[in-house]
This record gives sequence, structure tokens and C-alpha cells, in this order.
Amino acid sequence: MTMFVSAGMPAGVKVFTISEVASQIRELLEEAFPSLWLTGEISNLARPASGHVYFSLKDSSAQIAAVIWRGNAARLRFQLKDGLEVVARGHLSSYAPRSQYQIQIDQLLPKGVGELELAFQQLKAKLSQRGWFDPERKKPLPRFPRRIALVTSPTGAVIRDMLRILLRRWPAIEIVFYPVAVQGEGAAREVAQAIQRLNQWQSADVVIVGRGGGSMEDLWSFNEEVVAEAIYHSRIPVISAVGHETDFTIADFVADRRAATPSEAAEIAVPDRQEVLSSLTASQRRMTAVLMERIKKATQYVNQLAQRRALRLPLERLRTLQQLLDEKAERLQRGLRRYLEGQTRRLQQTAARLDTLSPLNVLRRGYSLTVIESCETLLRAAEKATIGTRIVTQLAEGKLVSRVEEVIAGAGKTP
Amino acid sequence: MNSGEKPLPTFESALADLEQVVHELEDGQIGLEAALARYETGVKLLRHCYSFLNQAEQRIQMVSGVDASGQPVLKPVVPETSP
Repeated sequence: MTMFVSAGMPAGVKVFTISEVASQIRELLEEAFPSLWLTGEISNLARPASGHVYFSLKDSSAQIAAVIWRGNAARLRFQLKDGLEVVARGHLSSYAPRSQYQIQIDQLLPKGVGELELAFQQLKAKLSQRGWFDPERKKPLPRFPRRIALVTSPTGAVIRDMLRILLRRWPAIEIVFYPVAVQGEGAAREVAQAIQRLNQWQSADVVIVGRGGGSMEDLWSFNEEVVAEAIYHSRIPVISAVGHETDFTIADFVADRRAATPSEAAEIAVPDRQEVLSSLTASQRRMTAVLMERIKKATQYVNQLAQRRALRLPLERLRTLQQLLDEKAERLQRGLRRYLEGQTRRLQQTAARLDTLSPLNVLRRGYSLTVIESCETLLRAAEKATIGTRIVTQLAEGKLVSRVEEVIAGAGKTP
Repeated sequence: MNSGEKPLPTFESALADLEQVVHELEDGQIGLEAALARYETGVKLLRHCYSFLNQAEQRIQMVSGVDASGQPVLKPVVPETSP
């Protein structure tokens, strides 16, 4: 546009307005650089409330202003910071109010390291700094949980495997299954919300969160801060079980316990019924054995006492007393025996209902039985063997025949 | 404890009590009469533990939604009996 601007100017000269020049320069820049990749170091990073991100990209001798608009900035998975080497894709334009040219970035990647890897390392460092991985703040898992919540995908083998293992090991369990998406857009929020709600409802005394194996991209939800936060704030202990043995996620670090796989999580969460039954049987045996021994000793003691008095006190009155004592001793003995027989019978009835009472189970847990070879007497006390005796030890698998080298007597029990 | 009535012990506490009984008996510090009483307690605890382990009432529920008051909507799940 040409117009009269000032007297004294040559006729026909074109005079531009600032806006015209600024806009033409912008058009030139945009036409010349519609799309380019650029590498450099971030400096002067600024993130104002608008959500847009401004910084400079520089190398050793030059710098270019850069901007990432809010929408693109929200999609960045890693944290930007000054000094970070990046590769950016965008187009050049000019910011007319200051005629400053800039690259408007639509894709930004860290240089030399994967985007997800960098994001993972950054979040790990941040949460570690906050103490979220500290062993002292990890909650113990209940030894015998009553209700277990499973937060995982409703499809696939993971949920089936976990249910199968849980029910096999500990049938007296209640399970609350909370189905969620475990990958893709929104999955992290679903997982986090499930953990929060289970806490709010007090639905369980332990929570397993997890999914099966996949790529780092597939497992990504478990590396997001929102999931880490939910696990960190959970009052219910959380077991994290993501992917395979070699996959480590942020969720694993924050959780109270990491399991290598979802199946392992199920095994960690509940005890094994068979093992618990075996230990009950062992308690029963030990209790009975100790009591039998004490009754035997008490009986012997009473007998000794009665004999001594009979020898030393021939007087009639004392004989009567002695007789009385004998009777009492016998009644005590009878009473104890009857009581014991009753208890033993009750125990045997309980035991008969269990299929786990076989001594083989005891042997399998590492105990062994030893008999003297010549007379096949079961050895319960070391004194019953003498040096040189050949003894046979029955193990869960096979037998050992050995010769006694030394006999160390056990400590006597009080009668 | 909110009432004078003795509630059934949980499996965990019954097992802990049983372990204590076995320990006391093996320790041999208590008198014979007390030992008999402890033995009887032990047998009761054993019976309780065994019956708990044998009850095997499995319950699986799935969170199928959340109702208006923010409470879970649960629906029972029948586990597949796959090999």
C-alpha cells in the first residue's frame, strides 16, 4: 500500500507499515521451513500458566527461540529441563509483536536415549528423592489374608492364573476382582482409581495390581505418576506384579512388595494350605508326646514314693495312710490314663479326617526316623544307642545306614 | 472388646495361641495339672484351625460398577475349572 507519508519524499516510493513487513517475513519463513528437524540443547526454559512451553535451542555458537503449544506440551512424557539435549521437529515462524523468529515444535524427543526410558529414569529419580521407595515405609503383608483384591485386565490369562493359584493354595479366601484397562489411553487413571476406591471401600486386606508381559509401551501405565501416587497413598498393602521377571516399573518400586509375575504375586499373597496343615499336625504330635512323657515320669515318682514308705514305716496307722496313698496314686494314674486315652482318641478322630497325616509328609519336610538295625527299635533318645550300634535312618527318599560314633545324652526333663 | 462374650478367634490368633501352648508344654516349666489344662486348650485350638482350613468356602466377586452413593456394585464370579 502506497500513501502520502511525508513531504520531501521522492514520488512513487513504496512505504511499508511495520505490520506488513513483519507479516511478509513470517510468510517467507513459513514457506521456506514448513517442516524441519533440529537438534540442540534446551536453555532458558519457561512454563507460564498458559501451558505453552518456551525455551531456546542452542548449540555452541547460535540459538533459536522455540515454543511448544499447550496441546503438544501435555503429550510429552518426559520432563524438560535446561541442559537437556533434544531433537525437535517443527516449522519456523515469526512472532510478529517482536519480530522474533522461532521454531514451533510439534514433536520433541530426547537425544541419545528413548523417550520412555528418559521419562522412566526421571520419575524414578523424583520419587526416590521423595522417599517413596524407602524400605521403612513398606507395609507388611498379612500372613493369613481374608480378602484379596485383584486389579487387572478382565481378559487374558493373568486373571485366570491368579484365581487358580489363590484358590488352590488358600481356599478360605474371598476375592474381589476389579477389572481395569492395563494399557492405552486412560489405563493409568483406571488403575489408580481402582486402588483409591478399594481403599475407600475397605474391600480387602491386600491388593494385587498387575498385568502380563508386553513392550515398554504396553507396560507404560505402571510407570505413570498417577499410579505411583495411588499405590503410595494406599493404606492396604499393595503387591505389584507387572510383566515378566526382567520388567521393572515405577509401580514395582512404590509397592509394598514386588512380584516378578502375576502368578508369583498370587503365591506371595496367600500361604499354602498343605504346609499349614502339616505344621498343625506337627504341633499336635509334639504336644501329645510331651504330655505322655510327663505323665510317665509322674507315675514313676509316685510309685517310688509309695514303695519307700512301705519299707520304712511298718506302723499300722502309717500302713493305713500308705494304703490310702497307694489308692490315690493308682486313681491318679488311672485318671490320667483315661483322660489321655480320651484325648488321644479325639485327636485320632480329627487326624483321621485329614489326608495329610502320613509320616511321609513329615519326612518330606526334612525330619527323619532312626531305628536300631538289629532290633528295629525306633530311637527317641540318644542313650538307647551305644557306640558301634548300626542304625538305619529313614529319609523321605531312601535310607541311610550308619554306625554310632558318639552318644550325647539329652537334658533330663523335670518330673 | 465391645462385649463380654468371647468371639471366635481368627485363624491367625488361634494359630499363634496354639504355638504358644506347644512352646509352654515343651518348656516344661508349668506344673502337671496346668500342663493338662494347656493341652486341652491346645486340642480346642487345633480343632478350630482344622475346621477353618476345611471350610473352604470360596467367594469371588467382581466390581461391575459404582452406585450413586459411591459404593461398589459387586457381582459373583464362578471360576472356570480349566485344567
